[in-house]
Amino acid sequence: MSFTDADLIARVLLREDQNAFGELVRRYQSPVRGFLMKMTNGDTHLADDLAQEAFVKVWKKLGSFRSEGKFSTWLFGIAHNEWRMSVRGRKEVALEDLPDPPAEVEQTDDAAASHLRLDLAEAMKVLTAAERAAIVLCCQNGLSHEEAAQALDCPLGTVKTNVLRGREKLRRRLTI
Amino acid sequence: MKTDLPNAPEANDPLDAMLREADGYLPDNGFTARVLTSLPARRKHSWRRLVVLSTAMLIGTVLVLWQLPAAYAIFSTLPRHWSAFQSQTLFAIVPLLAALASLGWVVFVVANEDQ
Repeated sequence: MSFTDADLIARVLLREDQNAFGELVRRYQSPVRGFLMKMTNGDTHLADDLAQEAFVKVWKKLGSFRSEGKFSTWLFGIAHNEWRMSVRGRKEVALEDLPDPPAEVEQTDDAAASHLRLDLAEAMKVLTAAERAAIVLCCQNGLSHEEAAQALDCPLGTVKTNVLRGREKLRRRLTI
Repeated sequence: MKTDLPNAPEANDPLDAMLREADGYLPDNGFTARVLTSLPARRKHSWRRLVVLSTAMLIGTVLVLWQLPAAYAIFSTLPRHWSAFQSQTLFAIVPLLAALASLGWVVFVVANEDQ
């Protein structure tokens, strides 16, 4: 028998059922860890640590989850927040202040490099963090622009712009 | 996840195909177990906290109600008898302040419960 997210959440809240919470973690560990892996530029250890922190936070704050929204949107929001706090904690620049990647990355997109197909993981590094987050949530995890805006805590227009810009950069970088 | 979205990837777009392919399933590899072992006791002592908070709230409310007439009398005569403000007056106000503080503490604790 397969439980819905709402069933599992209700079991956690009413019975403090760790098995139900474990099922939620199993269900979402891959997209959350994948998302954080991309946000940390492939640092798997950091991504897993952040994902673990995110799920612990979900456990603590599950009572404040509003069921009118999707659980995955809420979860990605928490995961994104964990990443943002880790960036701030390491005294790096905040998401909105992240500069575009160095110009030389863009400049390699010439005729000589056109035959070179970089894999997607490398190409993603061309994107700013905000573009990467929007692309991963909307194009890889199937969130709508509205849901991504909610998860990333930014205006809808910003998400749409970041998706468009990100896709355009990826196309150029991957020569497709 | 789902594909019936306004911004759903186009079936023939090579970029979308590449993004979908790259988003493979990550095996659990003990991740869920690690999360479960690191979970704090979420509501283990919630009944105890509830009893403590309820008792504090009850005591605070009773004290406030009990002291209210006296406090009103003290404050209403305070301007006239300011020079005669003595330790006896202070003694009457302290429980009221304590009661208000206990109420404030309960509100604070309840408001920050989920953080």
